[in-house]
Amino acid sequence: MKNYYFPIIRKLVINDFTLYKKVNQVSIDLPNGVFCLVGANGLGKSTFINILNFALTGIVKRPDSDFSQFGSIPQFYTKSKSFAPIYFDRRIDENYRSVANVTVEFSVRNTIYTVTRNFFSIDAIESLSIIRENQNLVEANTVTEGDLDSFYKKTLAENIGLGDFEQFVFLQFFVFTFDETHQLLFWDNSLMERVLYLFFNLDPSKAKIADQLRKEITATESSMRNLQWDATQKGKELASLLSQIEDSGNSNAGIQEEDVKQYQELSGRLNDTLDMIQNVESELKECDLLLADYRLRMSTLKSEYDLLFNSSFNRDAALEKDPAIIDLLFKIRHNVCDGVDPTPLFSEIIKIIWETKCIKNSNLDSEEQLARLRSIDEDIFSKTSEHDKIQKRKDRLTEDYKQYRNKANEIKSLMDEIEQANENFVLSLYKNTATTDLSVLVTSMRSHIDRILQIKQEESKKRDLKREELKILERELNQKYVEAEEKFMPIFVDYARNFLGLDVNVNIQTYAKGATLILEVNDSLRKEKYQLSESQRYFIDIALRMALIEYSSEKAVILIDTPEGSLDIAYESKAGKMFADFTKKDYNLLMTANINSSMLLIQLATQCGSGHMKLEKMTDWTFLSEVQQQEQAYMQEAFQRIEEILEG
Amino acid sequence: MISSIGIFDSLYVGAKLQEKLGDFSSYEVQLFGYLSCLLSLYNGNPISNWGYAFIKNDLGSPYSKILDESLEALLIKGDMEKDEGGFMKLSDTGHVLLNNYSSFPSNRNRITSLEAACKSIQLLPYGVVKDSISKEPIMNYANQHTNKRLLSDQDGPAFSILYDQFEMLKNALGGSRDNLVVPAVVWLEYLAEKKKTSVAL
Repeated sequence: MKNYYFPIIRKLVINDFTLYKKVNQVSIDLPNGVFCLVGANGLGKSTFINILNFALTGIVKRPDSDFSQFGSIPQFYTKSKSFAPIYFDRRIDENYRSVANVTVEFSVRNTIYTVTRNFFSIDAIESLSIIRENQNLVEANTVTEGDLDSFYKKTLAENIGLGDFEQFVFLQFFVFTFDETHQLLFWDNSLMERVLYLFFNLDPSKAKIADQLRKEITATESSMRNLQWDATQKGKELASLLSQIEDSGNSNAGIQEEDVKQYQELSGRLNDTLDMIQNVESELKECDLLLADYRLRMSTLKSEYDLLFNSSFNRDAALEKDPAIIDLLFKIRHNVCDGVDPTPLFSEIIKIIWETKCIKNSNLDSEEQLARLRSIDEDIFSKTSEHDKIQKRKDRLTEDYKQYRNKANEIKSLMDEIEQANENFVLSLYKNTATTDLSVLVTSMRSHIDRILQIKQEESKKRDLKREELKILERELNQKYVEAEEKFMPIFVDYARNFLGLDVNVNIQTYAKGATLILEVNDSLRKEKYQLSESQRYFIDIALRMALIEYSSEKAVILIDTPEGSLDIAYESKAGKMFADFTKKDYNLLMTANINSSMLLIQLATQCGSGHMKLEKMTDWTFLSEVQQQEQAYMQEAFQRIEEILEG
Repeated sequence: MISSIGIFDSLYVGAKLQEKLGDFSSYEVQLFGYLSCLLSLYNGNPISNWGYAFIKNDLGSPYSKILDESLEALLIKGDMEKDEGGFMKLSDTGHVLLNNYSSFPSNRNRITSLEAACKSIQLLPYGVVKDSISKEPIMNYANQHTNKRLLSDQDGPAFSILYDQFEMLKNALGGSRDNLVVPAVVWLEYLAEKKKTSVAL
């Protein structure tokens, strides 16, 4: 059932992305078939994939966070937004922060989108055009600059056939991209369930409802746990109070529930802010170290420059104008006039000429000296500009630091207020109990505990109701999957069997926390990750993604970051064929590869030929490290071999 | 110790003045060196980065010891020649030296300010330029006081007036950092105009 129309990326233009040192602009036309970006490690291949996804979605996925940590698709989107500026920070030179941008051109059905984003702007688009039937929808709808982002999100989600833009972002990162974080759909139930809803339940709004229900169930369960904890605490307080009454001591009292919640929330925010402060502090320290280092090096160079400049200047001074020689000549005249033997002064003149006027005495001739001066000057100049960049970065971080500190102080003072208020409350409670009947307080606490348990009971009922609602959706999903199985299963089995060479099967399974697909290899369940090798896991997951794409859409682009890195030699050729099979069905593959003699690329090139596969070298964009330069000939050879295969 | 910056600035300003006036005096090199320093400040560089400082001399003009020593060193070395009237010219070796140093990256930034200062005499009468510089806020303040204060002391009271003038200029002309000639000329004209008004009053 082809019910989605996913973006087909046509062109990517990256401006002033200074990690790519050789060029101010990277402009890539993406062909149908395979586009392969090749280069050694550390040149920015994964960054390229992240730039492309950022251009499409406005976010960069946090590499250290699993989807389950976000809890829901909207949360994943919202919480990922702030990461892009952090991710691009060191990849873009401080001086280019405001001008560096990326433009992506892609089509969805009959509509062509051109989106330009600055790397450090959140929820904002620099420019946008959406052309459908020769009409620019942005202009036709008189969308203002501030509304470009929301107009883009709304139009794109509708165009693709999804419920909202967040679902597109989710699919783009977890299905259409196989990146270096290797987050797999199999063996991650929270991911798989969302994917199943989106691909097999047909109506994207149902996926959204299921996602919301799952989130509410989790929230309700968390609230139930809190209530239980509260009731237990209160019970302990009550027990303590009773014991104190028995000892004619004082009683204790609970804290207002709202205050506890607010306090916990503030405490969480404070911790986050303190983390940020710590990060900024460590970055500031790094800046200071670098600045000191640059200053020291600049000062050393400056001394060297001055010394060389002065020595060349003195040596070049004209003989007849040299003050030392003129002074000696005056002395000689004086001696001659006074009848004193002037010859001892001659040796002094000879000495000065020998030491300061003879080129032989200098290690460098004037040309060499000039070249050396220029080279030191260039070094000083380059270090000065590096130093200025770091200074600029330090200024910005100092400003951030101030803001975070203010924020932390604000939060801390709110927390102090709560502490203060509750302390008073407890104190007043103690005062009352001194003069009134303590049994009133005990009764009140008991009823309070009962009330908490009652609320927990209500929450439990709510959760059960939501579970029922979710079960209905899950049943529907099960039915839809079974209906879809007839078409979907052969596609997946084909890809997976060709790769593994074994019988592969998948079954949908509903469990207490949701629905997932369970993998079977040769009739044996592989529920646990360790039951397959790393490369088997990765490529089975890629096979699943390809099957999902093929099942749901006519055209699409899948992004795969350095797949050969994790591949057993035995599977290289098969993986290459699996990719080629996918692209022959009119789907596009954008991959990065660490050029080597991997059979994956060779097989892919053999199957695709130059008409269906394009290679792009990262060495055209940026420089190799020293170690990589030593291996350059080898890499060039590998590259040429693939090119030759492509040319047939 | 000879200052490489002082040598370069003396050669550059000297050559530009020589192009326009035929020769130049030590006073003129000091005057246009000072104007360049202020234009560099206009361009956003701290005055302390200029490389040498100025004081007010007994005649009420800007004076830098570094420039003075540099001119002296260039004369001794034969890169500049002085006639009997005290006017100077760059020799052939001086021109070669200037060409060589002009290509040094550190000097490229200075050239923007030095060139704008020297170009002003192509666009305004020399007398107007000279008078205007003496009326810019810092020189003007220094000339009204007897102490030998450093002209480049940014804590000095006249700097706030200078900053105001620069701010007005930037607002009126926009903030391009590449071309300083227009702001230089407009500012000097403004100072000249101001002088006329104050005289009329």
